[in-house]
Amino acid sequence: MSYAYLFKYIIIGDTGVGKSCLLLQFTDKRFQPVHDLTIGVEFGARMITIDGKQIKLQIWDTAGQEAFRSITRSYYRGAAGALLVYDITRRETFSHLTTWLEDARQHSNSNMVIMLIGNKSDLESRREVKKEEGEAFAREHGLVFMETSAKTAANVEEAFINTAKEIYEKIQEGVFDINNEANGIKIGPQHSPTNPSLPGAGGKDGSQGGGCC
Amino acid sequence: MSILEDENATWIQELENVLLEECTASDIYCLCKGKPLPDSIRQEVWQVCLDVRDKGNQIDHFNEIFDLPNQVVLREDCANFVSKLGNDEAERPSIVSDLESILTFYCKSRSLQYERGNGWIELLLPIITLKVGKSTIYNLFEGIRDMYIPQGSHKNGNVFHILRLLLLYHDPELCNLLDTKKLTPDLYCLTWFQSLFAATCNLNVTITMWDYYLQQSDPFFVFFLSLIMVINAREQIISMKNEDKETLIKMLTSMPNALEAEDVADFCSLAQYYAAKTPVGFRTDLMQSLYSGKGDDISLISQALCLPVSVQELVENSSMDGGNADAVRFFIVDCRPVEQYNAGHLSTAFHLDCNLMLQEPSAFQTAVQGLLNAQKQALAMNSNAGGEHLCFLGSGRTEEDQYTLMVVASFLQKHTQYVSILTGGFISLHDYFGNQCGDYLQDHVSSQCMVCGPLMTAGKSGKQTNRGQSNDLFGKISAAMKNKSAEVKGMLFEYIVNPNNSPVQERHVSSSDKQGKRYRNVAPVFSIDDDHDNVTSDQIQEDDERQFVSIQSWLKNADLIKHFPCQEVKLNGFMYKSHLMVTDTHLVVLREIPDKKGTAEVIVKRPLTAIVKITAKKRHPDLITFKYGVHDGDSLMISDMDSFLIPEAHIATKVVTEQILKQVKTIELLM
Repeated sequence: MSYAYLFKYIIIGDTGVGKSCLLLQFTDKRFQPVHDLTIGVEFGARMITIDGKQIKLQIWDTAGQEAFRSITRSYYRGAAGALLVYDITRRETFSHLTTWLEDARQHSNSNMVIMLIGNKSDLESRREVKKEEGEAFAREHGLVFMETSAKTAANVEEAFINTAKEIYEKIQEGVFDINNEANGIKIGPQHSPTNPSLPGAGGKDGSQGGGCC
Repeated sequence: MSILEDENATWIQELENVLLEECTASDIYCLCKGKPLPDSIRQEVWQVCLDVRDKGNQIDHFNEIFDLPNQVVLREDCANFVSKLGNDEAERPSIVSDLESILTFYCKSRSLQYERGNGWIELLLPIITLKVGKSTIYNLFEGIRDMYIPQGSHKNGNVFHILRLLLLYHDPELCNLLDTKKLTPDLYCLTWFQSLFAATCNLNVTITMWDYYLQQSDPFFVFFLSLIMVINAREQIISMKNEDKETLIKMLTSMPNALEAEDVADFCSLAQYYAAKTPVGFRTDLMQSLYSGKGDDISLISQALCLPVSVQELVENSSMDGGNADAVRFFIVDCRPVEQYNAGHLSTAFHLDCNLMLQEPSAFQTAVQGLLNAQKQALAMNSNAGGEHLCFLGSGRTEEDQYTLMVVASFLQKHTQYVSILTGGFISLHDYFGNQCGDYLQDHVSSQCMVCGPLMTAGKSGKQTNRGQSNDLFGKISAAMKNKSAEVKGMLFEYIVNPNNSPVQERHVSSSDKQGKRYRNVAPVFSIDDDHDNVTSDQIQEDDERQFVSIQSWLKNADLIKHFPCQEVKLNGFMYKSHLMVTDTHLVVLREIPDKKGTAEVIVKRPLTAIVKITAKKRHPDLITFKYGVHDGDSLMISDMDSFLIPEAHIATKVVTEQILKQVKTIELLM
């Protein structure tokens, strides 16, 4: 199928927070209560529509375990968006967010859009992290925030699509250099690279583009 | 029954003779083949195997001052432990005091701290039962700790990362299940490693296992024993997968309890089988850091996606004989972008385009299916490219290797067995071959090669002679000879007579040229070290000059009396397709070189007069062992032996015997 853009995503966060389940819910629209540990990295894709344009999301689901951390790091490069996931029923997964964020910022391009996700919102009775805390963390670090449930599918679509919208806007603003694949964006095969909405200034390498978001 | 007893008596007798002399663990293994030892000579054998016979009385230097920081804990633990042994009440205080002295002295002389539950006391138990003096107990204890207890046997130690990788290699599904339950090996097999199973197995089992273990003298064996423990409990683990973590840990930890003395032999040979089915490169890489505590380069292991294979191992492996079905054979999967592959690759590498997985998942599935079919076919044809063990190869650059890792991960997620990845990828491979890449890589176009492209000088690219499979042979020697490549290559071509390639034969080296040793291991007396120490023997082999000859020219040799195609059988069970040449004066073994038809390597050349004994196995009359040595009064001193599987072995033995007699007569006439 043809597409206007391809966005590359990475999903990160502690082991067991539901990264693979979020991906499965988004790509296959189903939930698997017992999921094997992700080995290294898995991969999923889905087409969405934004602003009447077909956009292909290529999503890299990484293993949360410490042991795979160095493998995970190699995937930050060349990602346009990241979903940073924690589990609202496990406080420690929230406490580790700073480490994840440092890691992500250090190894990715600075324009990468990061969406903070508090998963397992269906388990209200076991909640350990308040929604407000997530919001505060997101505000402080300039992230977009959302609580989701991979089980009930609540907000799952939104999480992925809103991230894409954010990236799309950045493209329109000329923040992303879409000709540099290292930014995690690719123009579809049937679309000419001369995008009218892309100002020439966008070519000044994504590493130092608009720092404010 | 009486035959069995006879057989028993013979090897024990022989063993006792050997023990009177200087001997090594491998001499003992030759005789016992890992069998349990008679109680009477166990302590002697263990001392030989641990090489502590000449250690002297070390503990004599102990000043009998008991002032360790945790002396109280140590004393308490010793007393506690001894109280459970069931010895006479009267004996106990002296045992406790011996234990405490030994461990205190050990702490002091090694500057270590005793910690409760570190396995030391359990490790001492089998040694105490030998009923030897305190100084011998100490020496044995020290020997076992040094040789067999990996330094990283602590929580989250590198030892357990390796064990996990081995489990992933052999049973990915089980490994994934345990990972999902967050059951890392250190949670359940810490004591196995710390005490070499003494803490979890009953005493008889431990001793029988140690008999085998020490003879085998392979410090990595504990990994495979542990691996078997886990794999053996597979069904049970799966059936308990919904239990909580603690229950599972308990079950796993205590698995060795169930082992009985009669099972040990089977258990060990199973471990041996798995060891043979595992690439060995990781051992060489990790030996240092595991057993001497030096080197901390363990991130390679703790962060590895799957078992790493070194370039050297891969290259050497491709040049190995395909005859042994049990040995590791690689099926190489090159995952680099197609342009890179086309600009040079191993002749035996199958290309799998990683980008397909992203762009066209279904086409990728087809490609994988094609790959697996190709693997099956290659295996069926016993091709050089065939192998059960998948070795994935990336470029060695992070940008591209993230795709390689993804592909490898996809195989692991499908629970594919025997998955490994080449450390350093193509760049390392290229470095290894150095400026001889043109010879070892197929279709190597230096102008487009990702490694040498921009730097390559003109003129080099024309040198694409002798490429493809036949080059594997060179790989082995190339690393050592890289710098003086041109000159050395000349010599190699001299050794390797290639029947189809005339330029090679035209080359001649005059007899005045240095040729090194004409053959290896000529000396009538030397000890077999094949099993003794993997690391060193491998290195020796590499530095050693090898002699290659044409089988045909040997057959035309006028001195040749008779020729027998056979399989050489090594102690470790490996078999090599070989030719036994009986000449007037010598017994010569030529080992065939897998992809160089008609060429062979001279393995040994023994004077016929050195043969003192020829034996055949009762159950395998075709398995013949030639023993070499000298007559020492009435007894024989065996210094070495070679074993072969020879069809119609009786003819061979007859020819050899006749020839030996002739030789002896000639010598007598001359004298």
